[in-house]
Formats: sequence, C-alpha cells, structure tokens
Amino acid sequence: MRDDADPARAATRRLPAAALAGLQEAFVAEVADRLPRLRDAVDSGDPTRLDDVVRDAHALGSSAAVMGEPAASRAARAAEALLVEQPRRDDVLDALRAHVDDLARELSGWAR
Amino acid sequence: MTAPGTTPRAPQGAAVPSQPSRLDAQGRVTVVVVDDSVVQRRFLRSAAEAAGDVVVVGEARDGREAVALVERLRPSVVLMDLDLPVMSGMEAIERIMAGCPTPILVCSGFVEGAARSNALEALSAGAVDVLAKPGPADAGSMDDYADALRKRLRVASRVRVITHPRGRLRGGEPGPVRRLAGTPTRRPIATPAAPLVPLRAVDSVALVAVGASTGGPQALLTVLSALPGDLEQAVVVVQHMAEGFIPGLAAWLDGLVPLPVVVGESGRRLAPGTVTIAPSGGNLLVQDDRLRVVCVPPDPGQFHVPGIDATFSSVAAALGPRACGVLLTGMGRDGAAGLRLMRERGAVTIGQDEATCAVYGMPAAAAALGAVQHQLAVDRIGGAVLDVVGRGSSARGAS
Repeated sequence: MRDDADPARAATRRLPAAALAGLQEAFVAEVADRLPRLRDAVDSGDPTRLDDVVRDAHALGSSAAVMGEPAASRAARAAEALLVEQPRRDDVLDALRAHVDDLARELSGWAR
Repeated sequence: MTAPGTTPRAPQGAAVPSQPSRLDAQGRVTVVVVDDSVVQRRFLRSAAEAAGDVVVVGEARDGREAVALVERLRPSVVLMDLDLPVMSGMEAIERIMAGCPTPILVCSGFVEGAARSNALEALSAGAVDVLAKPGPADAGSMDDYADALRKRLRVASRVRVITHPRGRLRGGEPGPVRRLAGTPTRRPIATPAAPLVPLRAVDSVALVAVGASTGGPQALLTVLSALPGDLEQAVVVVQHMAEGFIPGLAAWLDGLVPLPVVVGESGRRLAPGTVTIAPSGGNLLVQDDRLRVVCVPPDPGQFHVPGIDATFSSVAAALGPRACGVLLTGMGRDGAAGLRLMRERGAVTIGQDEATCAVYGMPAAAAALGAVQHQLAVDRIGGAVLDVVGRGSSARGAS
C-alpha cells in the first residue's frame, strides 16, 4: 500500500461511491485467505501446490485493481504469469518469490 | 482498459429485434453474477446497480451454482467469470445455453494477451460478449469501468439467444475443471431451413464476402468449416470485433477450418483459397477485380468497425456478379445496404435465418431491404456457397 493513503481513502478516490459498501471488509478477508496460501505454495516449490494457487494470484490481481492498488495488482499478475508457465526452474521460483514479496508489501496495509 | 471481444461500440436499440422481455416488473435488467471472489462479486454488483436500471438478483461462486441459479431466477443477463472452481465458466456457459438460453457476458481476466483464445471459445460456446476484468491500468478509473459494464449489460439484455447444442452432449456431472486457454471443439448447429429461391451456380465467381457480428465466431466456424481446402475462390470476412482481437480470431479459425485464415493488409490482394479477415480499426475495401484491397479509416460516426457495408459495397462495385455475399448473425443493420448493392450488381446473396442466429438483426434488416436471395440455416450456408461456385453436391454428382 502506498504510504500517502489509507485503504479507505484510496478506495474512496477510485471507486464509484456505491461500490464501497462491504468491499473493504471483503478485500481484507480475501487477502487473509489467499495471500498466505500463495506464499506457502511458492515457498514449498511443490508443482502441484503451485498449480493450485494460480486462481489465488489471479483473484488478488483483479481485486487489488478494484481496490485502487495498481502496484499490488501488477505484482499479482506477474506472479500469476509465472505460475501459469509452470515454474519448476530455480530462477523462475526466485522471481516468483520476489513478486509475492512485492505483493505482500503492497498489501501490508490490508493484512489483518 | 483493453476491451472486449464481439461487441458494438454502443447500444443500438431500434434495430434490435424484440423478444420476450427479460426485465423485471420495474423494467430493470436483472443479472446473476458468477465469480468465486467475494470482492469481485461485490464490486460487480455495486457497479452494475449504480445507475438504477440494472439489478443483481443472485450471486454464484462456481459454475454449478450458476447453472442452478440461472435456471431458477431466469435473469436478463449472466455476468460470468471463466476461471471457477467445481465447474468451469466455459462448461457453465455451455450448460446454460443448452438448458436455459440466457445472454451471457463473460467478465474474466483470462481473455487478454495470450489468453485471448478463451474469449473466442466463450463466444463459440454461446456467450454474447466478453469484458476483461479490472486490471492494474483500471485502478484509477473504476467509474469508467462501471459505466462500460452497465452499457454492456444493457446491450446483452437485448440479445436474442437460442439454445446452443454443445452442452447437451455433456452428462449430468461437471467435467474436470481445467486450465483455461484450451482448444475449442467444432460442433456446428444443425437446423433445417429452405432457401427462398433455388440456388444456381454462377460462372467465374471470384470472391465470397461474409459479414458477421454478435454470435459471429461460432457462425463463421460453421460456415468456413464447410469450405474445402482447395477452394479456388477468395473469401473475405468482416467480423465486428474490438481492437486487438482480430489476430486471435484469425489464428483460432486457422486452426479449425480447412482453408488458411489470415488478417488482411492494405495493398495486398485477396488470395484465392484463403480466408482474409478484415483488420480492426478501419474498413477493408476491395479496389478492383484483381482483388487488391485497401484499409481506410472508418467514416465519421460509423457505428461498427470494421464496417460490413463498406466492404460489401466495394465488392459490389469491383466484382458485380462475380461475387457471393453472406450476412450472418449480428445486432443492428450493418451489411444490409451493402448486401443489397451486391444483389443489385448481380451477386448471389445469402442471409442467415432467424432460427440459427444468436441475434437476428443484420440478416433481418437485409431481408427487409430485399437484399437476401437465399435465407438459410447456418449449417447450410457453406454448402450453398459451394453450390454458387459450382462445387456443390449437384456439381460433384454430375462430374
């Protein structure tokens, strides 16, 4: 998350007013649910688990965009792209971990 | 926002055929939202309902829930993600279109870039339009995204949809949820219809010109699948489609039909035995009887780009009776006047019939103008074209 705005203010600037209700709470829950699963899978390097978290990266990318977090959205989409390419090589896994680190940092303000 | 697959640039009311109203008692468009992300569902609900003329009547988290909910609620439109647990969005589209035909607007992150084939597969399965999910570039313009979403929902709610047979081939249980960007299957619609007048072979037909809009990719697949790989005539296709999607359409068709499929370029000739698709962003005009083409900017205020009328009119002028015109499913009336010109210049003209159109708009407008000589079910059009060029069953039987 950017330093100059809290999540509510960022969302208020970027979303239609009617879209705000319940979104922030839902996004906090989604981050709490999907981000640890994504990180655990990437840390494990297990191809099956990596395959299972493509949807998590994808959902976080779309939801972060909706919540006015473009940097987080880009990090999630970059991670998703690597996941789709079936990351088995060490260098790809390292890049994947870096994107997930970026994602976690950008979303730190939304973490419970 | 990089946009969508097959869609007009704005709603067009008058030319859209009427159908049993799917609006609620207050005249609102009713929507079922299907997405496994609660954030996305809430955002889409809020964005859809912001103007008051659209109401979300149900939410589903996976494809199986979606099929059941659509059957129960009978909404105006289904707003469908593709990457879903339990049952994929693609399978849900097929099942809905087979059992309870409803306009489906796909809203997915898997329809851009390398995943564009998913958009075409969704359209082929029966979806009427495709919208990309919000991405990083949209983060500062969610009001614009919400406006675009509502416009697309309104347009989709007016699309007449027909039962799509692919889902009937499936069993009761959902198939395995697979990764997106797969290869579509080829299952032409089969509906009989009689021609208005007997077809006849025309000497020295050099070009078959085809126009399509909403529901076009599936119809094109059906028609082009019937044309043999050694066809001597050139084929030019104008499909209404947003910027950037034409190369994907060409690649998709090229992998499925016997003829090679390419995207047209200004200054080149339409090659015999090749399907050339008009590029997006302008109009493709046939300049002379050597089939040289030029791509020109759209006319000011032109509603659909690329324009079918522009191409058909140029074909009428350049080739006269040495052409065959085919107008397929689509909203609005683009292509109707051009097809009439083709007929007036002696070309054989064919319109897709109402029963097999996803949207019986353009062919209806053409029929009303007297432009259609032969009105046919989509699965009979390819054979009719072969009859016109002297390659039909009667010609083969005689040889």
